[in-house]
Amino acid sequence: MLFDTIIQGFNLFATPLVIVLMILGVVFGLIVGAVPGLGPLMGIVLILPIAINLQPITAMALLLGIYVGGSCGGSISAILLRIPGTPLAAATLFDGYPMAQKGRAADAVGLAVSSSALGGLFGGVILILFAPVLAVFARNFTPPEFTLLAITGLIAIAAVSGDSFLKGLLTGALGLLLATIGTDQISMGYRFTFDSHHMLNGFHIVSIVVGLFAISEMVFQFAGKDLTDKPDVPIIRARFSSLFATLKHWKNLIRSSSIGTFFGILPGVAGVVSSFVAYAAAKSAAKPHENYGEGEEGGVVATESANNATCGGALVPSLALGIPGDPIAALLIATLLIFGIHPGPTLFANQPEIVGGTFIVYLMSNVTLLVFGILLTPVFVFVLRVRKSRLIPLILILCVVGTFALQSSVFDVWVMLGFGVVGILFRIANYPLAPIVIGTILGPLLENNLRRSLLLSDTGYWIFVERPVSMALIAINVALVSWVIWTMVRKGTAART
Amino acid sequence: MILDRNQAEWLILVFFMALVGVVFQQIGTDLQEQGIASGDAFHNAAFYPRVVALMMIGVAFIRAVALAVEVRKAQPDLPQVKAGELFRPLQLLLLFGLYLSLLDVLGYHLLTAPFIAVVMVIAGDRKLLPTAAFSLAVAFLVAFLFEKYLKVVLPGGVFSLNIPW
Repeated sequence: MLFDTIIQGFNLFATPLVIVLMILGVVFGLIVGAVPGLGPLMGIVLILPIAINLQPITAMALLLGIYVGGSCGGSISAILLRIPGTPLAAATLFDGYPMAQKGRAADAVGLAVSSSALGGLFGGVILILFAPVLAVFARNFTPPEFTLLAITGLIAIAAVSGDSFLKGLLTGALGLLLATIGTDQISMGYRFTFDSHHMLNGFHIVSIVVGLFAISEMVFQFAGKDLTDKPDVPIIRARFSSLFATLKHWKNLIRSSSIGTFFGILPGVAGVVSSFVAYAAAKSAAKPHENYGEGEEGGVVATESANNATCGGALVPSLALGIPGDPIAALLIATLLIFGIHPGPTLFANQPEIVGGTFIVYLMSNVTLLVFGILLTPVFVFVLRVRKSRLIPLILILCVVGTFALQSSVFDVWVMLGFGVVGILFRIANYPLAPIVIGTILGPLLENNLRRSLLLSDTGYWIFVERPVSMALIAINVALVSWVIWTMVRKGTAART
Repeated sequence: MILDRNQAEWLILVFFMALVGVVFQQIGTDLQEQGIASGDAFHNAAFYPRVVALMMIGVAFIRAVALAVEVRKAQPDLPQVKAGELFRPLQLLLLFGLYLSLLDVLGYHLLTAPFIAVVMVIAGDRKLLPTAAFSLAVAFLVAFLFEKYLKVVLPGGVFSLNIPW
């Protein structure tokens, strides 16, 4: 069964266009990852309008390539500039930058790329083995289980995002409300459309995401003081021998990749957490002569393998249950939905070739990362020299044209700008943006299943406690909320003393 | 003038309340008129938005109480944004709004290069020739990519300016 899925997926993958776009995706991902302030999410946001004009697996090749490349790219600026290109690479600073200071910048970048690729492959293997099992388990889920699963996803995201659970819940609720705009799928009535034909299908998810993340980020960067500065970074060349240097740390690699994959599977716990946890684990298991924090190879291996393994982990609930663990996974799900493909248990049963294709694309993206990440290191270093005064207008124009291209509609571009303003305000007040996207994606799943559950039920809301899986999900939700409340009370007590 | 995190958060809470107001206004008017705001949970299209809006009110109320307590405690180290620091981003937003307003009138090809150039000048680029060259190159390369390969017809404006690549 699994073998057939992979073979069918391989047939979709093995075309020149898919392979070329996957390579371009990885290279583009490395570039956007390397430039501070961009990152894989921004890369995917910018390319999404192009991707939705392609075939499903071709689009996934491009987007997963960016996801994989972008998750590694941040390490390049962390090592060379002491500025992590993405938050994912924040822990890579600890040992990557000291290595560069000791004249081993090329070794550090080579280790980062090799560890990322190997960690990503580890996550991919877990994805291939675990996602189908989860999908089979979820095949018996009925509307009450899906309702509670969506609620669990939202609560988990809110619980771990930012400094306030309540802020996460509010932005998640905003996402849920945004998803109700347009034509109601059950009554076929129009909700919150204000008699505008532009809103009959609601706001396009890409307009929302581009506005919230890309526009608000560009406006924030525009407030910076160093927009015309050109960092003086020496061009370096990484070597393929870094792969063998990485394999010497095989215990660290397996431990960190396992941590990364585990955290990836949990909704809301992104690569940032996994890389810090993996670093702490590697440090605690260090031999006496290993000086973590002073340019130790193991530090780079731990953080980079963990944050790329997270990608594979994050795809497990996204593909098997249709529940995104982070905004990038939410965008990948949104892309599949645009193609009329619904991630979840039925996808594994009805369209195994899409599942298999996604598996192969993800694995091959990591192989591509290893090859092109090392070969093209000078290019990624060169990109660090680009001035923000040029980068910002370029990205703004890509946002405008990309969003316009979705439906040839200037209205979508205005929506993007509107969400950009909302994103700016939310960032100033430290409100997390990710739950808005997750809420928008989970909204239809939650609403349809909630309403269907209540239609099926003879006992009203008691239907949610009548089945063992839904009961278990309620217990998880109660535990999550209790944990958040306990943490808040403990923080409050600590602040008073 | 200084905008601190708490002030921004009050603005956001007002935004959430306004949103809830719109939800209930729409349920009471438009959805009622369509006859989809009543019946059981399955057939009532207003059921779910109402539940989410009520949850939003509850959470926003708790957050407002917490915020009021935090304000009374006075937090000197709260992140602040000075009005002067907002000037350049505000210029960018206004310029961006102007660009979008004129997009349907003047079209992509007439507007984009000047927009990029002005953004670069505001950002601090003062060399005329490189700024002009970069603006033109970006505007035309992006148009080429989308019009030639993705078959997107970019806004031509009242002059219907589109390049037959």
